[in-house]
Amino acid sequence: MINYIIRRLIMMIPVFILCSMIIFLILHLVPGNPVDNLLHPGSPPEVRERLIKEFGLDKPIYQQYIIWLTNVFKGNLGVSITEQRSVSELLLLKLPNTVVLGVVSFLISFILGVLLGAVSAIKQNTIVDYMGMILALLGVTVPTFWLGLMLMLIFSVNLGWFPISGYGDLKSLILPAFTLGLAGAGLIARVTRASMLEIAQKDYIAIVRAKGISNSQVIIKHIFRNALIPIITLLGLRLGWIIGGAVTIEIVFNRPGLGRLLTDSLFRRDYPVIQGVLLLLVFTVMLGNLIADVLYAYADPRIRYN
Amino acid sequence: MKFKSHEEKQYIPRNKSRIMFLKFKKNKMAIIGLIIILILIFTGIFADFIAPHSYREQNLSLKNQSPSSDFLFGTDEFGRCIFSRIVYGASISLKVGILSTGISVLIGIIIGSISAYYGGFLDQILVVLMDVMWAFPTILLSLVIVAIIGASLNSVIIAIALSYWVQYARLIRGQILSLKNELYIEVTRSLGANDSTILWKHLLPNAVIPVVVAATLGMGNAIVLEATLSFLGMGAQPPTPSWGSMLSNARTYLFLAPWLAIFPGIATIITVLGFNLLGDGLRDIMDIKMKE
Repeated sequence: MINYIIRRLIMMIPVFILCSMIIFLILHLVPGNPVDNLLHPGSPPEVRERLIKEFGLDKPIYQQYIIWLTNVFKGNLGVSITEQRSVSELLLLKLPNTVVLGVVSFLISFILGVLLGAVSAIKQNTIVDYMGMILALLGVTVPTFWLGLMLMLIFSVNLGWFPISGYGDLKSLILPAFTLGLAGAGLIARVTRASMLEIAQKDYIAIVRAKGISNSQVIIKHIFRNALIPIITLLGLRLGWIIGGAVTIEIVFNRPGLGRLLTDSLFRRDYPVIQGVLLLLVFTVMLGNLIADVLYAYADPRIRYN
Repeated sequence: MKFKSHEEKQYIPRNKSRIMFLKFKKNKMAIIGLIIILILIFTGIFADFIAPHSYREQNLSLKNQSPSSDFLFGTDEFGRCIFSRIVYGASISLKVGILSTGISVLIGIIIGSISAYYGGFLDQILVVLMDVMWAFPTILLSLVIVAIIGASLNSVIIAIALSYWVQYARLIRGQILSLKNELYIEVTRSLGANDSTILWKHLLPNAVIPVVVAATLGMGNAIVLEATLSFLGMGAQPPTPSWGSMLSNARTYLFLAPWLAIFPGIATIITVLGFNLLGDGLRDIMDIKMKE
């Protein structure tokens, strides 16, 4: 198992470097110089050139990339162009908000999704099942940001239960976390249901039943536990989705976080910050995929050995 | 579709597409999905006749009116009729869904089939490329691409296409890998068929059904992604009546004019629901097991 994890960690390095290359290239192959956003119209060309030199933008692109990448591995992500702060400082400042939102909505989507899927599977082809699956279908259909707007309209504007925006306390977290959690629960519910129904048809379930074990025991101990394997994989893969969703949710609910930082920096063309945020998010997604694979290998030992 | 015996053959229509059609007719969800999409296409084509008002005509004395018989869904902050804008927006959503999915399927087919068919070093490189692209959340990737090439409807289409091709490439690659060692391919090769004939005439047609299903579902995703990008201010620019860009101002007016947020959102959901229902239905009909 440890061998497997180490092997996967080593395999992450080239993928990570390639990701960094793509992030760097798509931002630097674009015409236009980011320092132009800093300059007042009519400022002398010497100032512009000095700034370009200061940010190292006069060097050939591959040199810029190598310099940046070596700095990244040293833990130095550069300095923001528009704010007088280091990128790592900005990231550390915004990260906790996004992590809290992500983790809470992740848990909500997992619990709701698995419950909904399991109930639908147990009550297959009844009204409960149909209702559950319609809810799950809506979950994968409704745009996350719109769900956020509607929850805000109902619970903040009309009922006044929660603040319309803000951050820091539990009350302001509930709506954004539920928006993202509800939106994410749909897919998990569908996978849970399909997986449980598939397991329920297996021969060994018939044998377990034939042994006279009670229905609830069969469902909990034999069907549900085996059905969890694809759900675990899905959870790791959902990390990327949660991160993407958090970006929009942060805009909807006006919460400071990595999503806001990214969109603000995109509008300002603050390249070092954009690179930093993307790198951090992509690294998180890769880590999520790795965790999914490791859990999967743990649940199904055949995978470790090929 | 395999026939087990000659007796059975009498009861089942011989034509494969006829079987599919009969199965399709029985699948209520797929029919509903198809009807929604057809209505949408109809709305898009005949928008000029359906919409009571122009989509760009501003009338500041009528701004933020609540829904009435004159303005079915109310008016926006410039006094434009929201119902008319939604009607005109139908063709935009369709255009985004079809074009972006079409481009990404094309890229996916080319890269996926080359990767699987030729294998070896080329395959390894392409697989790493796919893995790398897979690590980017689609919304972030498309957001960055649009931000760089400039916000417009066409950039959105390109960005969505560039963010989604990987899933089709992986699907095609998997399909061809499992097909290329089948006996009939070996026979075709021994009869002297060259690589491109085998790939285009014998492998791809048999690999394409799961891609059709994925693309139908993908169009729904593309429409949601367009709405999201436009909401973030990185989409179609005014006065284009894209549903997403109609929603981008809705947050500001949530107290004053909630209909600004409600109706374009419902239009988006119904459309996406149409594609999802049709895609789910097709998947059941074709009996495909796909990873969600």
